[in-house]
Amino acid sequence: MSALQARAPAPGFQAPVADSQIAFRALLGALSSPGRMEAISASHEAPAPIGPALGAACLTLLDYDTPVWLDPVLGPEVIAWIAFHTGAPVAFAPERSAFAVILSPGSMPPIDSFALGTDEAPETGTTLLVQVPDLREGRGLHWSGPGIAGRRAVGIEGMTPGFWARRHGMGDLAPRGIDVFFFAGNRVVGLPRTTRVEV
Amino acid sequence: MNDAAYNFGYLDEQTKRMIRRSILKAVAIPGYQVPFGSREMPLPYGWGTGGIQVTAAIIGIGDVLKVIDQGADDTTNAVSIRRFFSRMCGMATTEKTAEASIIQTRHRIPERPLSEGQILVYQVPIPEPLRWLEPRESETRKMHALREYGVMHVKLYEDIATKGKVATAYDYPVLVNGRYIMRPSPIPKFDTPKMHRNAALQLFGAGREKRIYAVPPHTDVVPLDFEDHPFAVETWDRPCALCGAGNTFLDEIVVNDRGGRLFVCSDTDYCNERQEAGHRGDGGAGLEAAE
Repeated sequence: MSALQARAPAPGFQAPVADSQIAFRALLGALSSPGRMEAISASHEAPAPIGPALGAACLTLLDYDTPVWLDPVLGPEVIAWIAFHTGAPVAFAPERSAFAVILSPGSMPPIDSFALGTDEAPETGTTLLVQVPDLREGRGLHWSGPGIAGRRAVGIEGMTPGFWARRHGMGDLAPRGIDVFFFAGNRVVGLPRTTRVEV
Repeated sequence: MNDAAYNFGYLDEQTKRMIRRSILKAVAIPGYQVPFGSREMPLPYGWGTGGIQVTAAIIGIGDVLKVIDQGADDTTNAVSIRRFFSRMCGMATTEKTAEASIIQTRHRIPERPLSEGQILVYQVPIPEPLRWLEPRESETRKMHALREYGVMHVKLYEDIATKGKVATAYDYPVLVNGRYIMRPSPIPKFDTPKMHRNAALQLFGAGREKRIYAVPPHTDVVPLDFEDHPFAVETWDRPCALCGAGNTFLDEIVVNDRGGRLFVCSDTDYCNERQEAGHRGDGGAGLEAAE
């Protein structure tokens, strides 16, 4: 095998059109019903430590229009995979990013250091794609707000109390804010800015 | 099978990604109008180009699509949009509200309550609720940002002062999640209460105006009103002439050239289901009275 082949990025979606639609519907379902777990079955071969659901979200959402902030723990193989399959430019400053790919939530930048949008264009806030060790329904912090009938207990393993406190403090910024997807394995949970989390 | 000469869903993949990102932000900020790069579609503006682009961005081969125009599955706009997606996607279509995973609608919400997991896609002509009160987009953006909605209440008040009631019969302004005033598209105000805490996801697409907005499931959608002039929906003094339903939105149909008319359900699927279940209206009785 030549050196060139050895460094070729791992494959993306097997069927890009169908797989990105399947992944998008899972993301849409997750964000529409915050805290409800959705599974992403679309197949690709993202290099470790990118899991199936996070990898599918990257392939589905990123392209040359979306500057992406990459967690410093990501190695060259992952960076090359994202660059090759999505063409997304890398944002070196969190506040300049449309998306952020985060795999070490314990040491991520403060949530309010990402783009928050403006009062007139709140949609320009960063969407965080955070991979965590585990997601649990029915146990954890209580979530309420649009998309939730009553309230829902959701456990996001790996997020620090500081993350939740800081996010809680951003409530006054509405409609500015940060929307988050949490991934673990092939599962995803959405956390839009409008969801109130009891901390 | 979908037409192999086109990409699945007609739009190219980059366009779909752009629309999908806009839809996600719309869901995250209920009632806020997200700008998007609306494309030319193979039908004129005003025929549902916004709704079609939203549907094209979300639809998959496993979906079952229903399309209604003023409640009916068999009108020109509904038939042509349904055929468009059959050809571009090859997925199944239905006229049954209960069987559909995506319902694209022009100007009605089905009578049958929607369920969790269903998506209702509205075709929107004018998305900006403040447009006739403030023509400048730069100003309406600021008004939304600052939640400066006094002008809308003044408009409703002036209606009451001059006409004795709020004169808006369709596209009635609503407040979404306590934050944004939103146009629900030209649905009759009869349908407005159905948006409140609906179990389905509601997506709105305006093609010419290049805006997408959304109401997630179980979200507060409250029509604007006054304590002494509460919001009220239309009522009819007779039930549907075909199925006898007394709780639906009725269309007035002129049936002959002597001025005879029937009032029948606007939601054809709901009316048919009731008739199949054995419900009958008074049929010609109202007609004879008119003659």
